[in-house]
Amino acid sequence: MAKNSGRDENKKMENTQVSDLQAIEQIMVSSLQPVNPRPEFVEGLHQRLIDPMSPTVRFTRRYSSQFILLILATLLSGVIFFITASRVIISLIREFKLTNPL
Amino acid sequence: MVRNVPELSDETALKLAAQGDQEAFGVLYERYVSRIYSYIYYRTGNQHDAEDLTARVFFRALRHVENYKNRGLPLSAWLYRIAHNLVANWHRDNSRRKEVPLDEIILVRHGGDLPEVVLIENEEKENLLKVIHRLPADRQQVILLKFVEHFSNAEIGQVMGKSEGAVKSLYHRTLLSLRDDFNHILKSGSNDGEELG
Repeated sequence: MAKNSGRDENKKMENTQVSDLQAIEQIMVSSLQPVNPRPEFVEGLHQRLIDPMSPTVRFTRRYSSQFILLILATLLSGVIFFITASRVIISLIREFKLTNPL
Repeated sequence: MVRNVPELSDETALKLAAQGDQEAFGVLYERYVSRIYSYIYYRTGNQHDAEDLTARVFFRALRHVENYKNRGLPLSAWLYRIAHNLVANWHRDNSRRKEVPLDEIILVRHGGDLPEVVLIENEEKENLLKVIHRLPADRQQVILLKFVEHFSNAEIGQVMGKSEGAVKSLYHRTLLSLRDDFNHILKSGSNDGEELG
């Protein structure tokens, strides 16, 4: 009698264990869905793989023209700065020569 | 030579890629990129690192494709092995990081369900993902290959270099440990609720 009740208990425990594990499996089936990568990433990496010399990032025409304008503005300010600075230095040297002729 | 590239088998594409055919490698890339990304995404928990590591997997595969010899190991298994090694290195380098951030895209997915239902489901998923991230690397690998990639035990064995029986036993032990950890989280959650109440 006691043996039978022990067996029943074991069986019950086994069944509970199986149903617990099945529940965990069920949660995993519903939770672990494949995650898709961003299409831009997939395309960009494809480009990099098959043509390593191709640019990894492409800018729109608007950004490119803004970038070119920025470079031109930087160059222009650089030239102006250079001219101004050299004129200041030349006038300082002249001034120095006038005050100290020797 | 005109050929329908997307219809190439893995073996043919591999042979061509090994001879320097970049188009053929591109076919293999298109075929596997989403699966490799998805696997790495679950292992790292964020999009940025998943993209970085996915790129490294394919660059490494491209570098070594000439040396690849089909010794009964399918291409997918080879790629997953590379991914697994890179993720292991990534974890080692970031070992100080205790919490792995899980991007919201894994969690919020339901459009039409009731907010309460979505909240409970998301909480359940979040707990599960937390528990999975605490598992040792080989157990995480088994779970992800089984449930995200839908691999059989034999296929998982090929990726991990284990026998089918060993995978089966590892999977069972992983399930038991997941159940215990999951129950522990649920119990500690309900205790917190009681304490607050």
